[in-house]
Amino acid sequence: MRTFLRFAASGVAVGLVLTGCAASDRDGGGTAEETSDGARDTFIFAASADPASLDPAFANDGESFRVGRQIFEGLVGTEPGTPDPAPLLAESWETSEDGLQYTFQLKEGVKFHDGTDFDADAVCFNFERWNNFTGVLQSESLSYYWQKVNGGFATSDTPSLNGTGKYESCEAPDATTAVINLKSPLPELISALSLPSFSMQSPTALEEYDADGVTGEGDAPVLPEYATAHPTGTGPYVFDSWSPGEQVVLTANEDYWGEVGQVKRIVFSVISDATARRQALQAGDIDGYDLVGPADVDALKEAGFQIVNRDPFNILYLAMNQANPDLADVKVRQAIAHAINKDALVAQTLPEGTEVATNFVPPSVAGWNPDVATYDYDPAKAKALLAEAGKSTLTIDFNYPTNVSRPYMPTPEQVFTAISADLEAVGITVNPVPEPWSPDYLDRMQGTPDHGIHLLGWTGDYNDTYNFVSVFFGAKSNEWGFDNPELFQALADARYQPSAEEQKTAYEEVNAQIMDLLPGVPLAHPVPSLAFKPEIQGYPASPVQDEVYNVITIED
Amino acid sequence: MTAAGTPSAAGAEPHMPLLSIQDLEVTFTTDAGRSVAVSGVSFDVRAGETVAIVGESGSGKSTTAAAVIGLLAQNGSVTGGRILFDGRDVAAMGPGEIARLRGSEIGMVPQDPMSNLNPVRRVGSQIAEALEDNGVAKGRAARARTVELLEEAGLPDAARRAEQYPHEFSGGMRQRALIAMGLACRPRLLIADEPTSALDVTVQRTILDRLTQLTDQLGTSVLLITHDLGLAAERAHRIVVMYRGEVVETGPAAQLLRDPQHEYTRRLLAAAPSLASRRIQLAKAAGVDDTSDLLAVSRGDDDAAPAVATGAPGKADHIIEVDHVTKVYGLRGRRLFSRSESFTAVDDVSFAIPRGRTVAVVGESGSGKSTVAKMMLDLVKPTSGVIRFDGEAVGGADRTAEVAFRRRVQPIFQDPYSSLDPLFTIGRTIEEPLRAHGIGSTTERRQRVRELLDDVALPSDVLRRYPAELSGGQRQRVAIARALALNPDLVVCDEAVSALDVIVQSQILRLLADLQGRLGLSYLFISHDLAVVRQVADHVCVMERGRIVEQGSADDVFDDPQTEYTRTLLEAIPGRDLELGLVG
Amino acid sequence: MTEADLTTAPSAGDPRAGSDDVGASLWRVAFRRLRRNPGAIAGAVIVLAFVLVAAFAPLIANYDAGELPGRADVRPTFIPGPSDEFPLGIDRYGADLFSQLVWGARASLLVGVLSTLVGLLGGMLLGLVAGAFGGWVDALTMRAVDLMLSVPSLLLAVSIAAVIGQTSTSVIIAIGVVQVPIFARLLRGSMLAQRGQDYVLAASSLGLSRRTVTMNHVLPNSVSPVIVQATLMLATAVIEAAALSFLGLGGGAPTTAEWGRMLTAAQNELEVAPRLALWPGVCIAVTALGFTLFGEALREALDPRSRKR
Repeated sequence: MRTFLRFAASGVAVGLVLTGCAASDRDGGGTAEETSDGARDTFIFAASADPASLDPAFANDGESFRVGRQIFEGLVGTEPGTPDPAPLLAESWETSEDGLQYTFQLKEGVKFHDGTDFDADAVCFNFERWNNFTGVLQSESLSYYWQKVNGGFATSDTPSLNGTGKYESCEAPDATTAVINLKSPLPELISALSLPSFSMQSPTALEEYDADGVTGEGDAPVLPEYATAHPTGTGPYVFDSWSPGEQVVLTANEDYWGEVGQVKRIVFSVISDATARRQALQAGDIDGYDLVGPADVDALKEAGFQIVNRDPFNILYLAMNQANPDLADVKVRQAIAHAINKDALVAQTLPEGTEVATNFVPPSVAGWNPDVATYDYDPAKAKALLAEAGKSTLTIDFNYPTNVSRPYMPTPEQVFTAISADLEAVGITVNPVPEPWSPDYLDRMQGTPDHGIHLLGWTGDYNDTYNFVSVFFGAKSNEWGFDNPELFQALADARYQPSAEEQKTAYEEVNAQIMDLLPGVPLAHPVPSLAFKPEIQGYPASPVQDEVYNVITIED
Repeated sequence: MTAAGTPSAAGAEPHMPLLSIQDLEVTFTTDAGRSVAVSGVSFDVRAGETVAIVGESGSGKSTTAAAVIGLLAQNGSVTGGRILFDGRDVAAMGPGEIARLRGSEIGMVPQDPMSNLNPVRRVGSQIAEALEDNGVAKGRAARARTVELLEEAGLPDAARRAEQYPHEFSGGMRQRALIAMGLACRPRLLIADEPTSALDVTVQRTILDRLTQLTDQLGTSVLLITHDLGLAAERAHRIVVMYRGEVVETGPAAQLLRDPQHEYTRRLLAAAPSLASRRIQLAKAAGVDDTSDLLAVSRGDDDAAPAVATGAPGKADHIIEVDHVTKVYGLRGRRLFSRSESFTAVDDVSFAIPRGRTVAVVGESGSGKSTVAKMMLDLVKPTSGVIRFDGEAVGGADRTAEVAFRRRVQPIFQDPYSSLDPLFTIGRTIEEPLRAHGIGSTTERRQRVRELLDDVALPSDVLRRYPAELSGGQRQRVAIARALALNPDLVVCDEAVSALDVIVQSQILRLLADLQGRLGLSYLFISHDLAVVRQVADHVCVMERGRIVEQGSADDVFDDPQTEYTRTLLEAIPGRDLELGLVG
Repeated sequence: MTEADLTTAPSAGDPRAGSDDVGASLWRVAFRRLRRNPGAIAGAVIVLAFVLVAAFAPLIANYDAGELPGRADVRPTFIPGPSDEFPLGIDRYGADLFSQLVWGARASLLVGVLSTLVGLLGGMLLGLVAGAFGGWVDALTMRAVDLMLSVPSLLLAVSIAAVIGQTSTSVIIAIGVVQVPIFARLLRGSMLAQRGQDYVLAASSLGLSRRTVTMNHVLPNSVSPVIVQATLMLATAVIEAAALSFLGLGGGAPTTAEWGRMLTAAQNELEVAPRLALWPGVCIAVTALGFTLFGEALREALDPRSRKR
């Protein structure tokens, strides 16, 4: 009896000690602490992945830009809520008549975060830096946009990039005037300068932290200290810390030349699972997130959250790889186009407000052509075309990505299933090939010819047809698998038309040509949405995602 | 203490019995339905009296004892009759009342000392616990009393021993501890359930002596459960004989022995080895040449086969010669890197088995007799020395020689429950040796199997059955049939009858003797039970701790033991002082 | 009391007393015991139902696997629930939930049975080698088994599936491989226990070769715990297959009828249609329960202890 009591007493004591220890570790992971009282000044936003690089010159993905837009500014910005260019660090600019010289009047009294002055010398430093990228810095995974916009570098081992760029030189006659000289006209330059990749970065910091010291290979670059720990720009927020996989923290730039704003601290919380993001918002752990799944919209609204839509500035398409001999036959491609019920697809799987696409560019872009060939939903015609082509029993690989949601494709599996069912209905046997988005799916679609039809899309960077279509049809590519020099030339020519009017007409013709050739089926322009807590006001939704948080106010 | 002594009643009512069982019925509920284990059992135990319940396994004796102390298994219950202890019906008591009765009024000394002591507690504390629970003593007083009780039970160095754990005790010491525990609170009735069955022979007598002494001293009544009629007759005033859940006969011990009424009692009397041994002894003393109890073939035979084989080549016809055989096992050392220790199981043993005779090797546990048997069967190789079978050395590497050897030497093992493959039918089991050695066609084999069944007196419908359906005795017969299938010359019986009930045991022994006579088999008979050995052996080797301490013809060893150890073994046979009628 | 009386009948108190076990081998006795055990009957009923549904899926399901009859009625925030045409409603893609569940039974049964077979065969081979030879062969084999056991089962399954490639075959192999060490250990232990029995000794003394003794005597007597374990492992296999699908391994289109996959897809729809997660989950749980009940009852019925004496 006594022994039993002794054991019981010690057992209870041990239990009490253990419960004391267990109580602490309760907070959920990932999100940062809230500030104590008064008006809230921390804004917590869920990112779907880590930024690839904090140096925007080496970035081309949405998450890097999301962070970059808070820290950096370029010469040119956008009109709020539109894709159109507006002055930013350059207060005004003039173009010479021959289109070869751009003179920028710079804002005065602006400093970089490290105290360096922002002046014309700094501007030229940045341009020269981009043009003089060598070696691995010239790979598409790093200086993607400089290549696309400029067309080349000062010197290069790749002949197509060797000295073929538009950019010639940069001059700084005085501290507030920068002059850019081009070898040949590039009408879209102004629009392009609104890209985060062309932000102005502090020359001091670039040198001090060896910003160009990238090692490794093009497909697996190892970034230097500048890009991982010391991004230095002129924007309203300063880089504070980055815990990979967890969060990126920015604090307000008290010396900012513009409006400092209520939000003094931004925490980008990395939550890769879409459901988890929604749950984090519902639990109150975050203030908002991007890419709301269409199925969640109603539920969130009912629960009192805000849904903010961006104007769609994107395209979702079904690409058809002509390296596959079956797909090289235009009749087969037309059959596929006729087989798809786009209206049903949009109604059943895409967010409210989404429109069916007829061009590879959205209607708001100059060059959108209302009279292109459309391939209406007509299963009978599809079957007839297949029979004509002798491919009544066709089997095709259908590649689609898993574990991802993109602004132009919030639910890839559903789009896949809907289109797959449509194709099966006209006798085509679909062989599903799912792959994780990154790196497998992207690498395969863009790096190899080994795929059939696949789903992909694009969100525009700035208001220009070339920005949309050149990515796809500017040159022979693995994704589309065809070589049509005529089309490539037409596109290149349209790009360099001297006037906006002429350019518009030229682009319209190109769009018509594309839809005749039908390398793919443009499906829709899905409406991307964000969700926020009710007290978040003034989120600057932008079709090109130029969203800087110093204009956000948080009500009590 | 003999059966003739009168019970001493210390302060008890001379007329009312302490324990009175009236028409007891106990039923068990199993998967297969209800079965009545005990029915219509009635007998009394008076104060100071020792009553023995004798029966074989399944007779219900342990069940009855368990019912008295209220410790029936979960699925058993008293469904009829009364158990009156001091006038109160134990069967009608609630669990609390019975618990109060236990320990202080009714004590128990259970059978197996190995599993009845808590291995993780010191021995002393277990006994002290009994004292404390029953309110006899507490704390230091309890501990002091514990030491006293252990001394009383005959445990030397009791104070030190009380602080030790059960695994540090030998079997005999543990049983003493259990006795001390049982008597700790001075109960008026002590139930001793086969208190010495699990012990070595030499220890048994001492333990029982001590128990008897204590109970006489304290005036405790004893209900002694045993399967050995000789032991019961020696220790108890009255005997209750049970068979298949019923009482077949009760009476004073002496009377039962002289004049048994019931058929079963008579069979028991005839079969009990200890009594048989006594009868042989008496017959010898009286000069009567009574062979009814003797199963040894060469009784009174002039076919002089020398008892010891060594040093007489050519003359003797030995089927097996064991020549200075030693077996040493290497054990892992105690500590991590110490050298492995060696354990000598068999030490320089030499003997021979004459053709057609039975040689018994007797010893207690740890004597090495089983190892000898295994070496005989070539299942274990001797470390040194040689075993010769029919002149040739055993244990060569030649497979053909090995197979040939195996045909001529066959075993019968102790445990009938594990010596037959449970998935083989009986027919298949017996046929297996024939098939393995490719003997005869299918029909011939089937014929041979039937012959073998006849030899061992089993009905032929047993062929279709599985071992689980047979009783222990039947299984052992099957094992014998299997052993005989190949017409071996030598059969090694390794405790072949030790696990059987008394009556069945005697039947099997008779069968073995009969077969020996008909087929000319030689036996190596391993056993720990001298009483059994006396009935069957021509020659006896006594082993102690790996060595043969004495060997000779059965007559020599039993009538005129040379060594102290042999004498102790002989004296340990229960019933050595009984007065028995000469005709069983 | 005749001699026969004294030797043939089982004695009172013997659990066999009163039962009719003539000519009863281990398995037949076990079967009789199972008949009386309510847990066994419940488990057997569930297992039988599962197997029948899987076998007769084409007759029971209203639509083919992966067919999308209700596609036109689906909206991003609305999925039609139970109706006359669709007894359990439709799922996100427009497939009939009821039919998908029925076809899913087939997939689960296949994966469960095949992977358990893989585990059983592989495990028995290893266990047999270790148990038969003993010595260093035993030690080596068991260390390999220990190695496999030291990796958490789900992790091991995921790694294997990731290496071989994400198809349903790799799922089967992955789950099977994970089960191998369990069976190996079981068989080896069982064989070691049987090797010490007298009948094995008797067989050796008959002159039978070691191989014959092992295969004819030791192995058949060691097999019953392995059989029981196989039944229980089937339940685990079904759950693990669902888990692997849940984690995205297992290839195939999103409309493949497999319970685990259906569960995965349903987690996005919890706000809109929670029944899409409920029904596959119930199916998995009930099936696993059925196998477990039956396996446990079988273990009890085959327990050699209750056959002795």
